Amino acid sequence: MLDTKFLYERYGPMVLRRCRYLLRNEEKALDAMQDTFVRVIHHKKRLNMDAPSSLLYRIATNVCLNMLRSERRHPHTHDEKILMSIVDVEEHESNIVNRHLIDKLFGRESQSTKTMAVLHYVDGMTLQEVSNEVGLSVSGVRKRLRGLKERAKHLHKDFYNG
Amino acid sequence: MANKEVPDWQLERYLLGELSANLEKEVGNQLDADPSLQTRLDALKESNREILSSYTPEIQSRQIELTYEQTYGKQKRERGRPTRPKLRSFAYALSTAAVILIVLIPLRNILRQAPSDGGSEEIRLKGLNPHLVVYRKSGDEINRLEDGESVAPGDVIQLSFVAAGKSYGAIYSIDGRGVVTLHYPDIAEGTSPGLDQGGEISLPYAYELDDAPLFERFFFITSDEPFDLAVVRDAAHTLASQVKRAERKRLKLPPGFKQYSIILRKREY
Repeated sequence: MLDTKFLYERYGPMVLRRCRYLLRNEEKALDAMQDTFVRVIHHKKRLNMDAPSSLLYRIATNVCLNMLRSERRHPHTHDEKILMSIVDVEEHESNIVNRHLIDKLFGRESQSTKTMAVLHYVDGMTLQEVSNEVGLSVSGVRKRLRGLKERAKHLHKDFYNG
Repeated sequence: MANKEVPDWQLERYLLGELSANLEKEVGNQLDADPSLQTRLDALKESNREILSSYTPEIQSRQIELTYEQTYGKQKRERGRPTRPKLRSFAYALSTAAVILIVLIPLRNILRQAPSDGGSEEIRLKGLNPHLVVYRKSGDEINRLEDGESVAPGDVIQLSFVAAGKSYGAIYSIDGRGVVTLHYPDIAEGTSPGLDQGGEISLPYAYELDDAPLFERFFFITSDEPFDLAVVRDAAHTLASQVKRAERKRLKLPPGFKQYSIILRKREY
């Protein structure tokens, strides 16, 4: 059984800072932080908790991307422009596969490629570092990011320079 | 390292003591040499204090557990209710399959897969093995692909699995460049997730084929017991290192695993 209090005490501030950075809204960041821990508790049996900071960072990123998707915030900074461009990819990507159909039938969605994109393009992780984070090979990460970029015709030009 | 700025995520993990030994040493050296980095670290420590005093562990942990209970507790209780398992799972599988068939599969595929012997659905389900179902979206039509069918770069593929009673599983693919890709679960580390037994379960995202040559081969690995995903991942990388073998050989896995594969042949582009 996870000790929620211990987990929050140790990692809560890091997770909240991550959510604040991506969402720029204290109330939403707090919700996202709590949701991050809820997901960890729910998936505790299949998660490697040897070094939770990496896992929590990624899950928090995923949670925030989900929230940003419905919010359509106007970007103000360079990083925000890239971040919102990555969020936009989902709309485009989902349209290709008929989002309504897939969402209705399967009711789930993955942000993994977009999470990788945030780690690489926003957080500045190298492909090797992203690879270490998500447990895919470097070539696998490159492949997923390349696919995402190719579908994102309308992205900010800086995204392509990454 | 002296001129490289330490990103926030590294500094966070340095403070938590969760960087690799090498990286921890590098950041430590840079902290000694760069007062501005020490200032950033001090700011993080101060932020920790501010957050934990504004949002106390007692209240936050209670709130998190309450949200968990509200979100997942009901599901767990419903799963725990006594039912007639065979009848229930059969009905669920049938209803899910019906939705998939009606919405996704063209009529000719339905006819092709319909039982010709008039045998009961239950008997067929009992004999079912874990397998993958692959769909290709082409224009407004979605077609089911069979083993060995031709595909092209840019084709959008949707994977589904049928657990057929196996409790745990993972899906990987190997392409003609020897690249291994994890398709399920979403998180690559840790233990394999429990598999949904509700008939045909689609993965939450579609997959666009890239320009890797020759083939794209998908593996569905299942087990009755939870397994370390690294075992399957390593076996996939070993097989992928020899592309010719990756086209036709099985993954070398310890006893207890069941594996299914389907290969899609790449057309020239």
